[in-house]
Amino acid sequence: MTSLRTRRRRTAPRTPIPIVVLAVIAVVFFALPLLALLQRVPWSDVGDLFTASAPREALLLSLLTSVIATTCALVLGLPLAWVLARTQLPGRHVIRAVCTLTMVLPPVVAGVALLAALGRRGLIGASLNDWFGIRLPFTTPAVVIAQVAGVALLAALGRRGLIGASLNDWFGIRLPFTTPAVVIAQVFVAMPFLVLTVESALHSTDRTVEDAARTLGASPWTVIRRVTLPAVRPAILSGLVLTWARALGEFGATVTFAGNFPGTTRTLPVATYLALESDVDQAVLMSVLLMVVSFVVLVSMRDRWTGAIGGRR
Amino acid sequence: MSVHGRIIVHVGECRIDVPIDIATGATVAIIGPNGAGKTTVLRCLAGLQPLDDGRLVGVDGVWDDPDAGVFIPPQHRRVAMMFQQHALISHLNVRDNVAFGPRSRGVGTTAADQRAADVLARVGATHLISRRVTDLSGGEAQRVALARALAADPEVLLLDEPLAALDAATRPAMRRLLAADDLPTRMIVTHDPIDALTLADQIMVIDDGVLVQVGSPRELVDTPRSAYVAEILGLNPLSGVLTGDQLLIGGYPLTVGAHTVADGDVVAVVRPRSVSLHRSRPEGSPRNVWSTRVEAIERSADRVRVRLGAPLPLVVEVTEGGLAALDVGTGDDVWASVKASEIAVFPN
Repeated sequence: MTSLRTRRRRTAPRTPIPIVVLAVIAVVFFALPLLALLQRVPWSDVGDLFTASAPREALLLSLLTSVIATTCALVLGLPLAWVLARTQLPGRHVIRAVCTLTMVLPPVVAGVALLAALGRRGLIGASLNDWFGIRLPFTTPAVVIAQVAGVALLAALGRRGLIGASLNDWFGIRLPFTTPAVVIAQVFVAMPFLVLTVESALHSTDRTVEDAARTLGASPWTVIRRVTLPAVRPAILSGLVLTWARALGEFGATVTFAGNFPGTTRTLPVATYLALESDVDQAVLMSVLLMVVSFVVLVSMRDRWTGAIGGRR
Repeated sequence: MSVHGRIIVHVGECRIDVPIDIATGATVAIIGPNGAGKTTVLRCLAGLQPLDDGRLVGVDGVWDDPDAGVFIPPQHRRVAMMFQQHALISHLNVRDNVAFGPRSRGVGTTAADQRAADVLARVGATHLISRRVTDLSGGEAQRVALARALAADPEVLLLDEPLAALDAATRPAMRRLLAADDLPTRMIVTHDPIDALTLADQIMVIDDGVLVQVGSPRELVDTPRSAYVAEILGLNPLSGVLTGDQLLIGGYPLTVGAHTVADGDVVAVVRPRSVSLHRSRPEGSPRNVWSTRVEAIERSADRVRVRLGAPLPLVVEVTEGGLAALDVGTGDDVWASVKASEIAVFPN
């Protein structure tokens, strides 16, 4: 009797055990490499690292370029999302595919973190290597995926590229291996996050609200400004955060297209990768730096900005 | 001064072809089944749906004329549309929603807010002025939506099923608001004959994209042009055979009043409110008296409709008090009576 009653009183059904187990595995899968990274931090040298100029330079460059890249993605990505969501443009499925292809590129911090976990001397990697002889990092597929974007940009904007040759001949502009090249590389791989997030929000907004606004005397611009954009604001903000995080972590396209010059194109991910060759401790520290900055932004801003915001105008 | 013309549009595979003639200050109801094209007619008037053919002339000139290449967009038509699901702007509060129309037409913030306050007072929603739209109940939201439409100071107010989303408790108040004399020209889409008959001075019956009949409620009730019109108005059309003043419906004889219809197959219309119900056989004069059974009791808005079984499948409208006095429920036996003069016949 008692057990029956308690069972009946349970309001939410019990989550099936297989779901719980697999979800826990997923969480561990994400958390373990990151924890491994933290475990490798040479805490005693943290002070020395921040007084050194190279990491600070790389961080400032990364912050600068990623913010500019995010702004560019907003300016270009919003109209693109609008066209994809709200027009009957023929071939827009192909356009969407072309414009979001670069999304598959993995950010470099995940690579370093995975190295810390799965590398030959990593948390799990050492065991994998010792026991099974499995070495995950530095396989060909990883490199290919990371560099497709960079090679494509080089082909288009390089000194002998499709557009680059003309730019060079007519204006003396050489884009590759400059700070703008870093921004371009970041916009190239990060903008799809904004486009897809906003497009899907535009699809799901209630069009009758816009219709109502039009019959109340609002011009198409007023409808966009006062009805549609505020309605998709949470999506724009979370799209911006995702775009920014992706731009900050950009590596493959950057190193191929923009190269690796201290102060101009050596972003934090690139510097991290280089340090791995010479000073692993520094690489770990810079990785943690990137991780912490991204984590703080993802957690705090996303929740605050996307939460319900009331008030006037 | 009126809105007139002819709406011709294609929506999917459905062709809609409806003549429009709305007198200034009139209240026109469009009634018809789902998918008949009622909402599309409103959208064409609002300018949300351009015409494929035909022509619409508004109070201030031609609105839409595909042949002449004229199309006035919604924001320049002085027409406000109120949607079935209120369509309030969820990130603005009640005041800003209501002030949206004036603001969009260039009125300053202070004046627009004053206008919002005035109109909210008029619909009895002053207390909601600072509320968030997402916190409103269905009835409150619809009231605010009406205020917002009125604040835009439209020449024509388009109302798409303004009562459908409301529950029985909030519906009478909204109906009173919509019936107010000082409102602009109104066009109300509804599927409920009671709303159409009580709110409108003109009723357009639409079926399958075509105007079946138009007229005053009186005209439609007295002379529905077809059994379909009678049915959509809830008027109990019955097919029968007429011989003089004797009408045979499925073998059951009724006596009808004076008429000019030739003998033969006819449609008889018995108005729901002209049938009386009794616990026992009524004394007195009515010639048409029969015993039957209550099949169902339906409540729509503030009226009660009693559905009767054999021999005559009629719907009878009574008041809540009348039903209580009668003290019958579903499945009970009752006596029904109707005066001969209350049965109208039309050639079939």
